[in-house]
Amino acid sequence: MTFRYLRVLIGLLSVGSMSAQVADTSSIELFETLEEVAIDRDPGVSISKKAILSQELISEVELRKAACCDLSESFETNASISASFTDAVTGTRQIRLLGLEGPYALYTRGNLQTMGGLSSVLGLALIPGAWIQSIQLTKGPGSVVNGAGAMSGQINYELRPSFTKEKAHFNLFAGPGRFEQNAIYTWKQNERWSSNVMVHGRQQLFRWDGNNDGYLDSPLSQHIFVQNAWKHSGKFSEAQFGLKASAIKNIGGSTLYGYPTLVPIWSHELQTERYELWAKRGYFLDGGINRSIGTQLSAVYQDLDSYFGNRLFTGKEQRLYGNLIFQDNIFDTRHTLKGGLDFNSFSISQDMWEKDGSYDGLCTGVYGEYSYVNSPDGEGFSMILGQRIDVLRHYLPFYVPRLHLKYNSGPWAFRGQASRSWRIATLGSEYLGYMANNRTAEFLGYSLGPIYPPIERSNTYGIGVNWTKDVLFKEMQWNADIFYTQFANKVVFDFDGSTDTLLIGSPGGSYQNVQERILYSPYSISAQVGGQYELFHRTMIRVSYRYQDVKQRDLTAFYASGAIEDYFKLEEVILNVPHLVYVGASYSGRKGMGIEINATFNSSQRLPDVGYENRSPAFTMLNGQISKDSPAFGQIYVGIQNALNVRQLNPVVGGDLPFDGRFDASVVWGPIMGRQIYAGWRYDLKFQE
Amino acid sequence: MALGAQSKFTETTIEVDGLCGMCEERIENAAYLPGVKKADWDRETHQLFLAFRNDKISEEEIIASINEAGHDVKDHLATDEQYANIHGCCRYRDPEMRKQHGLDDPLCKPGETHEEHHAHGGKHKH
Repeated sequence: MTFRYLRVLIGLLSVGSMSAQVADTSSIELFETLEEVAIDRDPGVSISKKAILSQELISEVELRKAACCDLSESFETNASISASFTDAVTGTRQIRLLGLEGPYALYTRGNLQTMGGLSSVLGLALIPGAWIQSIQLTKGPGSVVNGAGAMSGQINYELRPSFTKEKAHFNLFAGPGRFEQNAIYTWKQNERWSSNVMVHGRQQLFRWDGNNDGYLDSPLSQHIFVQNAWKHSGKFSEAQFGLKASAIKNIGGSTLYGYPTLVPIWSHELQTERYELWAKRGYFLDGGINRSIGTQLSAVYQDLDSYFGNRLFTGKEQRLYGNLIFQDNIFDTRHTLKGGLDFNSFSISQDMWEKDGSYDGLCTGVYGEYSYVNSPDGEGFSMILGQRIDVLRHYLPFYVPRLHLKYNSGPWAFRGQASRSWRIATLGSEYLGYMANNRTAEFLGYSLGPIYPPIERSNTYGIGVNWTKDVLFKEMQWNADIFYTQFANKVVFDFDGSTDTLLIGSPGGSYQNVQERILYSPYSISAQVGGQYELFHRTMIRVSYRYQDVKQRDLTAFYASGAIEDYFKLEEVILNVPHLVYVGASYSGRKGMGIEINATFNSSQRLPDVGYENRSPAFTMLNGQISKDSPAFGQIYVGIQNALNVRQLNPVVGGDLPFDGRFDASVVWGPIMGRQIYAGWRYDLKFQE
Repeated sequence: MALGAQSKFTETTIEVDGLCGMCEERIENAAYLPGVKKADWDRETHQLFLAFRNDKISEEEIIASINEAGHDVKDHLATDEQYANIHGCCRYRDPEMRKQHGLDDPLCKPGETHEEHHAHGGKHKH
């Protein structure tokens, strides 16, 4: 906040009050924090009309509507993102955005990237829900300032700030055999400095096997995360830095783990430790109202040890990331120019599917971004044109252009984008759940030696329209968008054809013309329509429908025939949910009473084609929660998850003979746990004035 | 400010005393009774915009609810008991705290007791 005033002040001093008002259109990217929603009745999710990118802001109000134990579970009341288990033994959830798996999105904490490499999928479990203040969801590739990835979008979360009105926050949670504790304490706060400490503990203590298949529905687990963050607000600068240590220990698989048995049992253990350090610094420069320079630095070390039955998965990661951003206005505050350099140095050693998946490298990038905002309230025409070039050894430089357009008129906002992206796919950790089987992994297109990570490239085109207007004094919002992501090459894990093999590859191809490119490129199409309105007094109703069509190369066909026409054959990816309908109702009473009900219908999903059933049944997840707020005792909440008790009855295929070919726990289309009741308590301790 | 004789919607603005964002939340929450369509308090001007179904609820009922939450409405002050329940950082009658928030005289004059409000019909002359 101080920063914002300061900027306005500088504006006043240098150019006069007119420009200072417009100064709000931009700020140092690094320190752009998510503003609290400035609407009288926080609907939980608000789709920004002002933002040029297609963004949804998920506030704490929304996060409190579900059990929401970590970032992967924060989207239960959101149709844009689906969360599903990666497999039946690790308890890991991953999200899908625009029909693409979790690692295709960019995860950032205050716009500084946090996950990747070994924590691509596991990392979501490292962000406790109680630490999160808000989440900004961007659909489709965003700014080039944040890198060349973010193929499906960006999930930018803000943790509870150290500079706040709350001295402390406490949260306790209990579900079936599962307990969580969170404590956040702001121990230092003055005009210049503030600092807080966050602690999270999670335990799954009891062996839970609701479906009686002899395998744990949810792994026994123990998580401990600790974070210390600092913030300094200087006269012409701002700094944030912190460190975080996380440790996870999970035991999954057979319920007989640790007991003497006559026959060998299939079990899974995972242990990981991750250390992160980060620092951000921003300075105002003389001579311009928005002239500033900022740096971001982060360092990560992670150590992972795990096994899936007889298969080992181990890894180590070291990563160093830095970004230098310069920003200024040209002509006037409607035109903003950003430019900078970044580097990403990584070293990952991995043992996956009995192969060496280690790689290391240094990727350096240079970027420039021009943005135009016609007026500070977002009316009229706005655009962002970004370009970047990345250099990675052994590859030609990657050129990444991105264009975002927006036009606002009255209640309408129209958006369009065309973006290019590329990323390094970390085969092992991004597809962790695909190790929970006895299939022999066949890496296509690799000779002997280590398995180098494939580079994936894509182009994304998206259009969207938003309509927001007060109807009978209350805001009504409708939203529709469609995104088409076309891959030059996409990683494929093909489970089809046989229960003994898993084909892995990332076939590309060259095309004669645009028509061929469209016909033969792997792609994802995601279209969504939704709306929200306070239909009844104090009751917000939200509805969404989502359509997804995701196709990949059919490796099985090509592997079998070797024919060139089969090389270009496309097939639907497994576990894609073509149709999804979400309906949610949220009541917030005058005396602190809250009732939430939400239902998500998932249509049938394609399963591996190996001779048995190859489509899952459609199912509906129904969740509910009742909460009571009081200044005396904080908030108490009780909820029910999966009220209809829908279950995938055979998440572990061939579990009775786990070391014999057919064992497969990698294909999970639905909930493993049945109906669950949970309860929790949250308390905010405010500073006394 | 009523729309018209036949309209069942009334739009009006009343002055409500308060300090901060927490007050805003409390005031709007108290005013948002069944039948109320919109309650929007402005921290700068202290004006509370109300839109409500006049066949379902009256302005007096809304004001009573705001008083009950501890906030003074122009010409309708909260009792000392009602005011006492307010959070420590929201003591909008306190001259020191008003100064911190850049506010001038409260609707309820300092030193004035609850009995005195009633002595002159709970009304203030500015």
